[in-house]
Amino acid sequence: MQNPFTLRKPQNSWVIPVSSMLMIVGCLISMAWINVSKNQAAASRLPEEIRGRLATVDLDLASEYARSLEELKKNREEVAKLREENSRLQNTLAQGGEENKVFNKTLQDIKTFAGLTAVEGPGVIVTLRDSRKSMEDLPDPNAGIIHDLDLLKVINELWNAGAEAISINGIRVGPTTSYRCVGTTILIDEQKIASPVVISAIGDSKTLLGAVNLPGGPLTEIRQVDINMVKVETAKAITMKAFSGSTSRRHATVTEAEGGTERGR
Amino acid sequence: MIVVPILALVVGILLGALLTDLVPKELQPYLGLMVIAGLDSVFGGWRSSMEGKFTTDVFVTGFVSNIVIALGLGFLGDRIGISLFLAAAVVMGMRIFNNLSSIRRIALTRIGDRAKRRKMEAEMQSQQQATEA
Repeated sequence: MQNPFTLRKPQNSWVIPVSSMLMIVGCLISMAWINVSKNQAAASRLPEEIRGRLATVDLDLASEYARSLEELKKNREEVAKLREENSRLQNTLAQGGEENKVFNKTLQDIKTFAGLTAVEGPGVIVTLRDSRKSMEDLPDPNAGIIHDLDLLKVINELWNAGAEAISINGIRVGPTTSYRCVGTTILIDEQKIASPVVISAIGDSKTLLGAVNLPGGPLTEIRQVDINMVKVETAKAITMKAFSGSTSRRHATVTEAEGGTERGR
Repeated sequence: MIVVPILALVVGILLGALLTDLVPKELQPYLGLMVIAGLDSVFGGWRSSMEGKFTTDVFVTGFVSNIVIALGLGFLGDRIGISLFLAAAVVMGMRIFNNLSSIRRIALTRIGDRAKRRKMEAEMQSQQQATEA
């Protein structure tokens, strides 16, 4: 008698096609898996501030950006080192004769004026920080935040009072330095800083102190909002690094009357 | 019999791990979608083989067209700013569940059938023994 269930036995014809397709699926799975984990690893290597915006930016672009930031930082250090080296060499060269000595002294003076040398001296340190008061206690939420304009006013006042060198959070201010508000941070040239902002100025401590504390001066308004946002102190010795920004110039040339030597450029 | 496809899957995974770098950059976002499309076809094929309706050409063309359509939808969706890949992922995910439940039901019936067959065979044997005795 024939077994009535034989008909239900599966045919084996499916094994080969299903197997080959499964092989392709397996291929795809591991490719997708590895890709995703690679991307996640790349994302986790990004600095904090970029990672938050990952949803809106290209991952490759973000990695590239992070890399160039890193490079910029390294280059800045390199520039500082080279400038120091340059000054040292100029000093060594000047040991040759009286003429050279005078020449080098002028050169170093100009470089110091331009912020291209590390300097130290007495002065004041102004610390500005965002208010810790709650939103309700502030006249408006914006008032409790240190802006680029506050910075600019203080620095302007310091220059006016005879400051000879200024640095902000360790970033030396040069002749071309710009201050700009970008999102929640302030850009000093291209370097980001955030509250607390520490402005150090070298100069006559008393004069500088008086200037920033002037009634109606740059700090009055901030102090009215929250006295704790501002701290001013004098310092006996402040050390500052050299300006590490670009000093290249492409458009300006020295006029003939000033110095004929520049004509050849 | 089930060993061969599983072995193939493992070989595929190893192969994929080796060949990852060959995937073109433009294709990378759609790999996941292709995986779902492929899985959908494979489960469909498993189900039809359980039902005894399996034919190679339908299966293979289904597999290829599934992947191609998923890819096309994902790509088109990205171009026109609609997450069309979600539609493909949802539909195929649903189909995978449906196919799996069909497979489960068929397997259960089959196990039940087997038990019944054993019982009948035992009865037949005992009947034979009774007639012989």
